Amino acid sequence: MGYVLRRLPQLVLVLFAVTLLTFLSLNLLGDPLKSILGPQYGDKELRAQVREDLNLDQPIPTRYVTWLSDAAHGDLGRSYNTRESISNILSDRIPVSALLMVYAQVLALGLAIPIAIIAGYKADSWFDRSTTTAAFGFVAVPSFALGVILLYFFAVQNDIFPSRYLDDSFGDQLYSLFLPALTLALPAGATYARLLRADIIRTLQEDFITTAKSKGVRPTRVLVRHALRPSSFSLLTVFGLQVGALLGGALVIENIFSIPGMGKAVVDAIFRKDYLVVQSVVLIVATTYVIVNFMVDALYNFLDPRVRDAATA
Amino acid sequence: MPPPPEPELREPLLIGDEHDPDEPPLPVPGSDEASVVTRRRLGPMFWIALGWLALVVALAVLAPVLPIADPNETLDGPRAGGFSTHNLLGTDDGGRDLLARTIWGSRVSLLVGFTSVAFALLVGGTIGLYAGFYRGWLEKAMIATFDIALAFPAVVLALLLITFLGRELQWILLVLGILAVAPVGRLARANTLVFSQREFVVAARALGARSNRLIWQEIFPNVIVPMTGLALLGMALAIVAEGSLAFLGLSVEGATTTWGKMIVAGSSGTALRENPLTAFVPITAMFLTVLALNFIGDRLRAHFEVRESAL
Repeated sequence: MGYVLRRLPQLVLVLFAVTLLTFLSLNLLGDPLKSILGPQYGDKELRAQVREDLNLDQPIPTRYVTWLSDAAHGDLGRSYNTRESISNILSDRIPVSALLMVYAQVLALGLAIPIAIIAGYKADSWFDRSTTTAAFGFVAVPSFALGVILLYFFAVQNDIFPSRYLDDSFGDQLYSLFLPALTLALPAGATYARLLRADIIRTLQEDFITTAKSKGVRPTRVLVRHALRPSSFSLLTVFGLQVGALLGGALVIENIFSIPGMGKAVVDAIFRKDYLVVQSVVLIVATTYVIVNFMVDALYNFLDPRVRDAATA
Repeated sequence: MPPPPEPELREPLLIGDEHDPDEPPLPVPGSDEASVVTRRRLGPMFWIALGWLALVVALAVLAPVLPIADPNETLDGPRAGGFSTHNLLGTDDGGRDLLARTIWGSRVSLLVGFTSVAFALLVGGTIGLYAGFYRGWLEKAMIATFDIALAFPAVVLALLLITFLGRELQWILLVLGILAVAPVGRLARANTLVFSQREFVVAARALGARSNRLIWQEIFPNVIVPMTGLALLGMALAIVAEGSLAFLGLSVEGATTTWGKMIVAGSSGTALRENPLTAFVPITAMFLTVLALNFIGDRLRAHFEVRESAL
């Protein structure tokens, strides 16, 4: 708790900077109306109306505060293209994107942890060498390329998975989100596996492992209880950083698999030159990322007794 | 539980500083000589990767004079045709030669990779050098700015800036350059911190060298070498970023061919069913290029890395 309170000012500062930058991006072209109205900029009446709606005559600090407090209350304004409220456009899509990202993280950890334990335990075996090489490839491969390849082999050439989103039941959702989630999970899992493998190899050389082994603790128990636990802290840090990659990656991958999430909303909006929607998505994604990272840091401090005790001492 | 041990200030590994990397290394006392030798050698894969990159760069530079089809011309042959002697890598659904389009597309990807890294080295590297050398408010301001830039997921920051700046090539180059400034600047600062304390810098200072001389003549040559590895990884990231932007509808506007736009065009369900080559030819080209850059960058980084954690 103490840690959270001490770091809170910094969190507020970063959130302030991130939201301000997002807000000011409308002014990059000079007149914010150009970005807001896009193709309808020529319409004089509409211009006057928007100027009135968004209080564009007010100074920027006032507008920023109004915009932010409205957004915090769930009012993101409305699209001047479809005339729909942006909160409405996005409210159905956020859960889909969120499910996709959680799914991807679960798959990534589910793949990475067992593989890393075995590879680390049997370092330099054929299993270790082949998984390490594969991990290098998956970290390097562009995720959209991976997505197209999976889509081709498992949804187009063979109909093992559907090539569109099904949402009749949770089972259907998981089934149709499997390929996009796997696309995001493979590079993330490769990052986890590389880190965890190196960590486990290092931990296995520690004295307390030798002690545990000589006391006759079974190898699986040594690995899971004694070796994996200290490594899980560094895994947690990387987990937080990967959330950023996943947030960005999901926006892209959704468009390959036609998943009606926020990424699809962004592309539709860009196509219509409906830039207020883009701004709202950026606001949501960026603040989520900042807050998740903060929570991961806090959790890390709460869980790791070495850091926790050092802070209270 | 005992308190965590103080992180010790380790002497950085200074390979390439005291002696030529091509020279056989002196056996280090107490270490396994064989492993040191393998670490120093770059291996055949390194040269294969370098060869691929040289080929891609040569084809991109020579594209206007190569005997290849016009990338935007619909040819007489079959549309969505497979490999043939006329069209080595086949044609897309518009009857355009895929080999020619891939070669022309590589020009944008390579340009994006090169300029973004050059921009980042110029801006981020300079800021990092001065911040690491002078410390104080400059360093604090730099760290705060970079923290904010890195508080956005990279794709999302690019999405925001390009949406509002526009999809002209120069804006895409600028935005991808800006994205690379923070990581490069951080590494430059970390390296500068280490080298500012080294004996040869202290000696030069004692001999009366001015700060600018210390920065550019003494520290800079030592900082730039370990950054080449990061620079290559950055090029790979920028090339991938162009592809990601293409999927968001934000790659270069107009008729300009890019790898990202080619992959997007070929990756719809119908396009994949009718002619997978349209997507797979540019995907293969991009993948091999990115893999080669990663591989070479990784090797160079292992050679030159100064551990930031040791600070």
